[in-house]
Amino acid sequence: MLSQTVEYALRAMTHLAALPSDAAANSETIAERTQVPKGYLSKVLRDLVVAGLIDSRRGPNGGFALARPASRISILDVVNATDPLKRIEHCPLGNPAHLDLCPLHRRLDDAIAMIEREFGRTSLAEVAASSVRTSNACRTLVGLTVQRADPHRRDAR
Amino acid sequence: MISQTVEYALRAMSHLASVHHAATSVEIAGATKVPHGYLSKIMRDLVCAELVRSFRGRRGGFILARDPGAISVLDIVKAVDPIHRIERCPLDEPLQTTVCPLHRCLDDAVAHIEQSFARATLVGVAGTGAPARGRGRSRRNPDGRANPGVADRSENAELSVRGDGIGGRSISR
Repeated sequence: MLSQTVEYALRAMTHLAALPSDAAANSETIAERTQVPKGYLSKVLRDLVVAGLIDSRRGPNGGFALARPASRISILDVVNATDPLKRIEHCPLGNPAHLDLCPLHRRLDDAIAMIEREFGRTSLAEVAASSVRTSNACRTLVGLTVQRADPHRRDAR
Repeated sequence: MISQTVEYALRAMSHLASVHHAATSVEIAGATKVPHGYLSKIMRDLVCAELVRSFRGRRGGFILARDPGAISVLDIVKAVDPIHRIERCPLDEPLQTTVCPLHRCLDDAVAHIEQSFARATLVGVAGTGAPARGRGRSRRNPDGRANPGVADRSENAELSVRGDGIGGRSISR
């Protein structure tokens, strides 16, 4: 139901959200922690940079970091940056008589709208912070990353 | 978000709910604008799931296996392209039984879709989903009553609540 791209983008963003505020992570580390193939991840990260959700920094302590606080980035922002939810705006049957959506497509669009609202309401901070606090599952994603603010690590991007 | 397979299956089922005869796959493909080969595969899945029955012979074709009010959108989705719930985090060991907040949030969204589709029956969505050729916009349910889902397209109206039955009111507020 949710695309692989969205899943990968959310893993990467959750990882970045769990970093200390001044830290950045290079793409190797993100790929390793999130278990996302490196080539695929680069494409996803590029989309996130273009959407202004993350910054890429050059230099020895460079890498990727959130462009704004995790509390101000919603799950929907991440989804829309990488694989936008497509609302149904007109009947796909192309019938000119269908100026409004038919009940079938209205229903389907309502379901998509509901997901949109739900994702819009949930911030990255909520999913990342509670992961760390409860030391819940997906520890590989956030638990270990907290140790990662390694100033000696070279940016190998 | 909603796969092409699901879209096509819903169109085919809406068509069957709006006609009074057994419809051949050629007729359904024409009315729903679904490629014939693709449609055949979908019809097979719908027959396997016992949502549709097929009849041989000159007047043969496909009909709904039960009342449209007793077929939910979720039944159709499950038959052709089931919704996968997230039962465990993809990054954790197989023995990990809890789901992290990120995947909990995603699974909640999937669960809401599932509930919404379980509540919508074919009575609520059929009628205009797959307009029959030459008839233009159909405003009638298979039982001949006007389809209130067409005349009144209030965005927030629940199109149909399961259990209303075929002749029941299709809009509940």
